[in-house]
Amino acid sequence: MAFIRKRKKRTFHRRKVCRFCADSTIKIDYKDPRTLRYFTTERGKMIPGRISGNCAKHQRELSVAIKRARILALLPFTATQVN
Amino acid sequence: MRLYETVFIMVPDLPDEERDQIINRYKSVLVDNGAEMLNLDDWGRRRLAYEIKKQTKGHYVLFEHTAEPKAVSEMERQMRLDDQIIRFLTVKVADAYDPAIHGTRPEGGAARKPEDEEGQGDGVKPRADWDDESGPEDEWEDESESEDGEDKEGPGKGRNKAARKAPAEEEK
Repeated sequence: MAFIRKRKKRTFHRRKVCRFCADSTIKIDYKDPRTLRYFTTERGKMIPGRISGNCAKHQRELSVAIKRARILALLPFTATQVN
Repeated sequence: MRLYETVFIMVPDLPDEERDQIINRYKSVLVDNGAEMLNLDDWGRRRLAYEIKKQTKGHYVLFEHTAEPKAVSEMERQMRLDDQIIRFLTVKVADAYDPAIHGTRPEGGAARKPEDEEGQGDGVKPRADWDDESGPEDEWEDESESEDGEDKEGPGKGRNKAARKAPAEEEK
């Protein structure tokens, strides 16, 4: 029974492709927070590669770039609390 | 000679000439130590994503330069002592500077300049760009499918996991 349900769900599966492999014009650059922000959550956490679909190589580069951008206060380490 | 990029952030409320002085000072620290400036990009005042030394804004400057490691450490040492510099980051781009490969730096530098002067900095802003590609809910559900271990225990469990995780993201 569970098996059948699983089958049905499979049809919704969307193939995820690594964005940086698909379009080589996008560069991963720590100086470009606008692009990097796309790969973080609203709270500033990095989105894991299995969710964003990035390949391991680009996810690694991305992770370095995001961390650098955080050091330069271009991206938040965490969503700052506004009171 | 290695190729480096240095970004540093100054306190935002300096008069122009003082700012130029600071920039020139670090430029000459590099040049006096045998470095070569390839590009100097003044990003201007930007909002910081978080407070640094009680400042919410900062004046960003990017240097692209070749240098020996000792020149960089000397510049960084002086920046550390300087109260006007609130943050700096030096990144090694390449072990050897080759004008053929890296020769196009200046035009690239301008193109990569971060978007705006003041706004944007707050990371809490909800992202409108979710919608055009894929909502977060979609993504979480995907996860429960792709993990085979989860699937064996039935899709129900995977769903729960997704449900549990998503709100954690929202919570303040």
